[in-house]
Amino acid sequence: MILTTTTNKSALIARLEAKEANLTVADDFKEELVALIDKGNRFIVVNFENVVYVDSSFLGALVSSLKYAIPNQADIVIAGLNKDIFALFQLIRLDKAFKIYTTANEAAASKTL
Amino acid sequence: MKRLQAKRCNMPGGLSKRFIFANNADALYPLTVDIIEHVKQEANPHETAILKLKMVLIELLTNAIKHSGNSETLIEVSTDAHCIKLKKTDNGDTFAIECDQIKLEWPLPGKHHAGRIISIYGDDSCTLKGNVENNCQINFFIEEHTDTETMDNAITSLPEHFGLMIVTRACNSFMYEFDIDTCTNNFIATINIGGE
Repeated sequence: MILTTTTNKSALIARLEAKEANLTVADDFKEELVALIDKGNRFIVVNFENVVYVDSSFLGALVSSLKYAIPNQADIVIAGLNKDIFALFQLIRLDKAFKIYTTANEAAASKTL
Repeated sequence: MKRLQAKRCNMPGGLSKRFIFANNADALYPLTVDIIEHVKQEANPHETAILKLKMVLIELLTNAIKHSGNSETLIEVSTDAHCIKLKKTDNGDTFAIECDQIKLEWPLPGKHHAGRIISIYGDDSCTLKGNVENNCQINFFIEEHTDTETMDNAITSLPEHFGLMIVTRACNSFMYEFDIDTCTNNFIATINIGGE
């Protein structure tokens, strides 16, 4: 399992257990995230607090999952990025595609506002 | 349209060190850390340059795992007072590129003369392109389509391949070179020491 899940109010928090979010885990990550959408979760917070770095393969899986979420009336938001990963999101403008929060709890709270 | 054109960086007399990558995901991050530490000791780059170096190394090594096809990839690291230069060399498959839906072979066919621009991939906001230097070399650059700050309606057009885009955006120059004498692939990236 790449993701461990908990609920916080109406949000599902999916915590990445891999420290290296790279091509070795990208396909499993997408498969697990899509399964969470298929189960009816409509607000998923992907928590990166455990992740040291992210590669392009993993980012591709994340974007592909977001494309799957939208027509299924689901939203995927991001939390817990370290400063290097946040800079990477900014570099390729994924900070415009995803809502990014400092912590998973902050992301979950945004759902109830 | 805004076009970010790469600048070349010459490194006469720069220091150089070779690293061997085993094309193994487990070795990716440790090698990235080793190379960053080497560059810090040799050139004392700005922290922004270190961040860019980290991004570029992770993508070059990921590219090696995906495409190099052989058991080892050579990473040559050079520094001088102005630049960090990374050269990734392997003898795997040549860089896959299509033009008019036809996969190009290296050396490029005769009509791909100097100055020809090849689109590689992109979305509504930008396109990664290659500027043909000669039939064995292209220089990557990014063509911006708009200055919009929102992507509300553009998510479905987002690419799912980011590797070359990351390296091109992070670097001051980035090129692919097919060495016709040795039949090896070289990706060459330069980053300004100051991070600008």
